[in-house]
Amino acid sequence: MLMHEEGPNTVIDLALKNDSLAVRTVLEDLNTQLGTLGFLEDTVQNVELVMAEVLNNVVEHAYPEGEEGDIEISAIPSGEGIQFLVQDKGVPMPNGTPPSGEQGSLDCELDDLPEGGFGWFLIRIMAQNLEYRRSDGYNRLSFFMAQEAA
Amino acid sequence: MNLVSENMQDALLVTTEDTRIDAAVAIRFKDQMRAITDDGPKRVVLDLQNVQFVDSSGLGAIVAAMKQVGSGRRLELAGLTSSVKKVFALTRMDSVFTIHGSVEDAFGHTTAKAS
Repeated sequence: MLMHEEGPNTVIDLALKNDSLAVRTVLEDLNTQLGTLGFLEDTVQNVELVMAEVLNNVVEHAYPEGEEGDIEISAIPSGEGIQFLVQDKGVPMPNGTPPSGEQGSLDCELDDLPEGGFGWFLIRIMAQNLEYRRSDGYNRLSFFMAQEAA
Repeated sequence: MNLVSENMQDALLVTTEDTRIDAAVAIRFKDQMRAITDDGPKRVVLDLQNVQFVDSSGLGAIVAAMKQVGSGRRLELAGLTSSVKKVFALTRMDSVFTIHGSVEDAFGHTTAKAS
């Protein structure tokens, strides 16, 4: 939760436990810090949504229920947007790759409408340069969020 | 999770007092919606004007709430804030729900429809 340096090389480091209320708190911190750095509301909203999905996936899938785990976020803002790295020590993603995020059809009966699967769909359409690596016992997910035009 | 319900003309108005429908409260939201909409008017309007943020879990819970209301009745939405509107647009769920600009729109005009 410290800004190491001011200016173009500012890095935002945040850490949290695998808990959905901790996710809320860290999203609030991130919103405040990006707002302070001058990012526009539209960009901040996009970041909040993508980061919520990424962190909730770690909480729900990487760590077994009831087991405490750490999640680390680092963000490097620039004039074009923000480069993110999210790391955890949970189980690797199945098949070593993030889900494709295809959305189910909405052209169906009420009872058949999808109630899930929106998370990776949203991440994939909003984030750029998404990369997943498993190394040294860490899941490392990096991606770029572009600054929205004013 | 705080949901407040009120009978309006031939409809039930449910107001979300929380500012977020996210992974932390999605199940409680779904359960409370089930209890509130278990029976009653055919038309249910969910007022989301206080909600600043909905994630994929929250969106799933709102879809689940619509299914619980059932096919003979309907769940409509009102007062989506900008971030919430964005989630509905990106997932095309705005084509599935009837969405009113505000609660006033939902009850003020009989011709109100999805925007």
